[in-house]
Amino acid sequence: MQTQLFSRQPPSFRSFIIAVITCLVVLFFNWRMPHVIQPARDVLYAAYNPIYALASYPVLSREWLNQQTKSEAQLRRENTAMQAELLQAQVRLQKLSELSAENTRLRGLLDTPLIIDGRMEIAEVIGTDADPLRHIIVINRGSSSQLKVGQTVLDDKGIMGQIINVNSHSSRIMLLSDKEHSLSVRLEHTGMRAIVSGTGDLGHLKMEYVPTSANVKVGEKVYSSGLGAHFPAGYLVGTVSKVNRHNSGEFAQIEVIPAAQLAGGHHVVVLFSDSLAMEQPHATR
Amino acid sequence: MRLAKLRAETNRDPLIAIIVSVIFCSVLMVYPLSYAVSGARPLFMLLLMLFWVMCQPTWCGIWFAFATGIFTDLLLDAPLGMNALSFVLITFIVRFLTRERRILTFGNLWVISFLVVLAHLFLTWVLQIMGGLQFSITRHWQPLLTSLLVFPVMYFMLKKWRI
Repeated sequence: MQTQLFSRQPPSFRSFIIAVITCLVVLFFNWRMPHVIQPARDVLYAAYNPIYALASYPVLSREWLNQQTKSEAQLRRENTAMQAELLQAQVRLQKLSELSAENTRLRGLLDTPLIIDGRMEIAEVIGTDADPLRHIIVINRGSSSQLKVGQTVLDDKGIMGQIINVNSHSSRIMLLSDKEHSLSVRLEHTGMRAIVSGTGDLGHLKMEYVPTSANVKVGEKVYSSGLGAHFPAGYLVGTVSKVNRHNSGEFAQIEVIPAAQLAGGHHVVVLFSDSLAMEQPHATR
Repeated sequence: MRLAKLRAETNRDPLIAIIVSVIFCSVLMVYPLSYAVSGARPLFMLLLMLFWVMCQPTWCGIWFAFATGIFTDLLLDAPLGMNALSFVLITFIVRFLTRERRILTFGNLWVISFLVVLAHLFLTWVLQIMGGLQFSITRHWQPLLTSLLVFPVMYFMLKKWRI
């Protein structure tokens, strides 16, 4: 007891110096040789899995509670609406399968291999990255569902982003709006190629390296081009919302509003087909 | 009366409490929040580290700060060693400046926690600028206020295990 009360001694200089030097060494390694640190990080991510699971538990249990407490009338209503929707979807699907068959025939004529319907995995968003400066979300599927780094993630409106880390039961997805994210796109009307990068703002993307003279209109849709073999071609990325042409600059400043619900989506689809990525954009001039 | 109470309380072994509190804080650190709110997330791990370092100096010292710092870096995917460096520096400076004090009251700890959060935010700000990371300045300082409010709650929950 007494020893504890009077134990507030000045801390030892030696351990302090050693700790600071260790920190600096680790920082240096992280800065210069991140590949040395990466395996340790991956192992520890797996070890942290219970913590992430625990953190996402309240979110998931709220979902579960919502499901449990729905009234019968509500369920019936939902059921009717869904049946109607299903019917519509099936009718559309018939047309789609027809088109898809036709497309395959035509492609057979052109001799290009292409799979239209790849396998997809539906996943649930269970968290966001703790770093407020990054736009990264966590989903509840991982290497146990054969997910791999680099796969494209969509929602019902358009492209959301890509997988950057895979753990056994979760993956981290970098959204289009992350500052470090870019993808290659083409414009709807002209088929012109461009690059869309994130700005750090969920509601805005910027289109870069488009010459001032280019024919870009507000409201034009922007699709992924499949160049770079990373994102599959032909999925909606967003809509051009603002075009700024300064005579002084070489490139126009173009803003794009993302089509996917980056801020609020709850379910996402991870795409497995990468054969589309091999396809060149079908630019019609 | 007070002394007797003090003695009864300090006989507890804080090891379990330390481990459980670190796990609990790491859950709070990664608890999913919306983008707007997550900028104001209090620095739970820093406050916890400070509490143990100030209130259990025989158990937790520089190396406890180092370990929690590395743990936080890995948890948050921050540059490895950034939080650790900040935690170690803060621990040393705080311990050095309070070496003459026998007992720290809650008021003292609260003021210290405010200064520590300020110092930590400043340090990470400098390190992030050096590392070439860009971000919005207003978001960076939001945890100051929330941490100030969270510290009393944390203190009264863990008070049982302090010296």
